Amino acid sequence: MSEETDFFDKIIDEKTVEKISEDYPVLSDEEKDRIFSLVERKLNIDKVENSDHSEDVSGVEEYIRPRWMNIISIAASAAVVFGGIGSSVCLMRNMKPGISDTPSPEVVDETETSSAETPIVSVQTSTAAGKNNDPVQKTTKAVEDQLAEKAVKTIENKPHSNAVVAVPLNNNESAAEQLNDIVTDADISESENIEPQIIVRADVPVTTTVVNTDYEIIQTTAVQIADENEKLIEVAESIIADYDGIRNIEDVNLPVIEGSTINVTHQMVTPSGDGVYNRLLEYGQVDPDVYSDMETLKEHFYSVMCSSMTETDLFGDEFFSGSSPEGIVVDRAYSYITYDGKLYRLMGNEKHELEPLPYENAVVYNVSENAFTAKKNYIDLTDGSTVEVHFGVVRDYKANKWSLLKVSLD
Amino acid sequence: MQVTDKELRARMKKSPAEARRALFDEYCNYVYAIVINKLRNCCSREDVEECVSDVFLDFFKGFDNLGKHNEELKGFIGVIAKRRAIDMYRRMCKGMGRTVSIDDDDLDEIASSENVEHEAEKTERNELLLEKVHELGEPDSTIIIQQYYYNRTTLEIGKAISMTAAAVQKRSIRARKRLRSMLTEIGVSI
Repeated sequence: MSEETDFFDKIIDEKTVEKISEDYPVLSDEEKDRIFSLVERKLNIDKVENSDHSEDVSGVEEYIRPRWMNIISIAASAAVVFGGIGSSVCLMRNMKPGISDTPSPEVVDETETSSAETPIVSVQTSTAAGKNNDPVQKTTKAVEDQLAEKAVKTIENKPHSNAVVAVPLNNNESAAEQLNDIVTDADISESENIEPQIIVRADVPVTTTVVNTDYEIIQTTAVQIADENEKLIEVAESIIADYDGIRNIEDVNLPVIEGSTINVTHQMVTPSGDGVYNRLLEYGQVDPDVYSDMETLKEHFYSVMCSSMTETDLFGDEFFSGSSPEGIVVDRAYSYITYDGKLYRLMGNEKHELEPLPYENAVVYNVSENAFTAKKNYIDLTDGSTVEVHFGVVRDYKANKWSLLKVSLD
Repeated sequence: MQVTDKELRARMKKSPAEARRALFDEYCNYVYAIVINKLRNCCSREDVEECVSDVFLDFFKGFDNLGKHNEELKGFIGVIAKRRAIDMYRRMCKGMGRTVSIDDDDLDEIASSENVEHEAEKTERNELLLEKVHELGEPDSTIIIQQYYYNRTTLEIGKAISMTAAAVQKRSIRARKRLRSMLTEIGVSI
């Protein structure tokens, strides 16, 4: 340790320091001036700095927000709010339990129309998927096109077998079972041998419609609204009234000229199919005052009946007297033929004369979008019995009206 | 001459610059002694002068807010000088990367108020030392004080007391020998 530190490097108390400063002043005048000028300069700098910040500031600049900004803000806010609400609703609907992510073929709609435009068979199966809260797996198997075609043909070959399926709503599995039973037993019994069959398993209300408009089979299940029902009844009454005007055409009850009958040979195949035998048919000339020729007859007939319908057994060909009348050969027992330009009708095939019961309206049922069935009671004037006549009515798009497709007696 | 706050305010009203100068002349040596007592071994001469100027700057800036008590300003300036010196000491030590050891004497200075016995011993020793320096007589006492307390060079001391640096050096050596023998006689070792 140096000698300097031996003296004053130790801690010196304030009293000693004060005494040293008084007894031994060290600063010369030059040092005092230098230090004081330093003090003055710092003091002036501080004053300048303080004076720079001493300016008063009052008032603020008013910011005027453009009005169109408000409109845009409101629109954007509304878009965000409604978007959020919409998204929430959409999510809530989609997040309901029991709805599978994979889309299931819940609606099977197969329609086949023949080249003759007549047979229309539609099999519709619809499930109300939105009401399904049961996690049971839904399985719907549609018949392949080819198999469905066969099944449809099976239905077509049974012209008078009606299969009306009206399954009440809120009947889940039983509805599907009913559907299978009815379709299988009544209409497509032969299709049991065809695999796969129509298998419909539904856990929800099922509405099934089987419609065969070819042979009066108009089957549908729908909720009939009163107004629509009344309109259809009016349509049905109108069509039935028109049909009563031409009923003698189909029933072969037109008046004939007495003594004008001719005999026509009808060649028929034997039941065994290995031979042909002939039978004589008697035709009488239709009173020309009623129907002069075949064209007038057809025109009147199709004014009521559906234009798409072809009555192959009703209207025959035109024949001429080349030799004797017995030389005329027909392949079918036509109800009407033309002989030497005159209209003849088949004799001995007259039907019972029916008279509609008064004060009794037709009843409409099996209503679908394009077809319905009406039934009306008639009285048989021959024996006085009541006969229920069914009228199959379809929407004739060619004629743009409702037309009669088929009439059948109960 | 002691200056009270009342007197200084009266002078400030007449001439602030003169008042500040008068106050500075009155207490600059006192402030310098306090500052250099703390910064002697860590700062240069310029740093010490900078610290002294900051002490007076703080005083002048805070004088307006000082209460009117008509008391001497020496104590107030002394407190400012001591605190400023400590701040400078810490700042310089931080810049030099020095840390204060808990065994360092400076730490004891900071906490001196808590050790009255040690403080009393130091005061007594310093009084004895200063008394013996006085007994050396002029110009030896001045040479010892300026050389070992104010860290002045012999050239600066010689210029202050109108002597050559060599003469100052010789007198300093003799003065230290005499001072050591005087302190030994009274039982104080340095």
